[in-house]
Amino acid sequence: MGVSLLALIGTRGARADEKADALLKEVETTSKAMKTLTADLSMSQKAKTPDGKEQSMKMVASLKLKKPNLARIEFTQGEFAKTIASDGKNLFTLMPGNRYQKTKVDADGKNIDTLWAAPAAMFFSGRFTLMGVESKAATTYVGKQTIEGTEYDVVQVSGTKPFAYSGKLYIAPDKLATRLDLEVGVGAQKIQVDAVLTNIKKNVPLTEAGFAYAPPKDAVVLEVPSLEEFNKKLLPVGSAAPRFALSALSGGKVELAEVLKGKKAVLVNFWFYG
Amino acid sequence: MELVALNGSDSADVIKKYVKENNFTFLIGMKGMGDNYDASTQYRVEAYPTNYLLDSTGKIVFRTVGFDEEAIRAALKKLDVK
Repeated sequence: MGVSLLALIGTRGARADEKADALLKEVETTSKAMKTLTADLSMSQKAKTPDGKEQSMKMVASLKLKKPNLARIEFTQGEFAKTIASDGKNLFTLMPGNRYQKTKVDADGKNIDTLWAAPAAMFFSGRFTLMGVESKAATTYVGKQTIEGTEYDVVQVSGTKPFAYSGKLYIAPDKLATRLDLEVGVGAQKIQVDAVLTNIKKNVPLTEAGFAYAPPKDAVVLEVPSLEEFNKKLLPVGSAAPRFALSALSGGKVELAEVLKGKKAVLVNFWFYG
Repeated sequence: MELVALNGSDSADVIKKYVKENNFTFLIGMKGMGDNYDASTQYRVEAYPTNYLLDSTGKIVFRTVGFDEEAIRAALKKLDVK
């Protein structure tokens, strides 16, 4: 019965190839060696819903990053954020509506969330991660592709954390991954993200003091519950799962007691398309 | 292993369309429609997706908000399920 589970969680079993691994290793080395990075980031995000609706969003930001964990990302266009700033201690995300989130920044800058702009996130870790979460990504070398005068090595990446994703990383001749096309499955939605870094300047001297940040005085702080906090509220491990008998889509009832019969395990998945 | 997917509160039409488009073959349960239990409340579901893994006796062995494939596979392995 594994088949239907796989339908939900996407592909697996793809192999990493040597050429892709070697390229990504070079990207990691180059990224790690970089002390500072300034660039312009443009991103577009399209969400496709099962009933055919499309929502799209464009974002433009200027980026200033310094090792090990300093960042200032100022959005000049888009509704996602106005500023993402790390002063080395705290990470602030100022959002439209003058609200902000504040969390501790990781020592290695891993949680500096550039949304799905992996090219910017890779400055800190050197590795491709989705929203700062590392998963065992499958990688395949696709070939060379020239876009706007730059010849890129293209590597296909796919993984499952924190969402199932699949896409292409474009590695520039200087071994920086500066362009990304990605499809991410969030619940029932498919989100297409393109991110490009331009006007890239490496190792421009930037002082730590230049990253000092305080949110506007009248801005309101937003508390963000963590995944652990969400999980803590669920029924405890070891307790008996509540019985249920719900209308089945195929007709009749879905009853837990019936489903359990003869099974080693049952995964009860709550989903919502919205 | 059996997978039971319970929908939060989409309309039957939306569910049918989505399930058809994706060729899902597992059991799909719907909320409302005169059912006795509100399973999402019983299971304290506040965010989607939420997953509960039960052993053969119906005991909860793992649960998480989100879909952490690796963690679910690890929990399945403990139950000796491939």
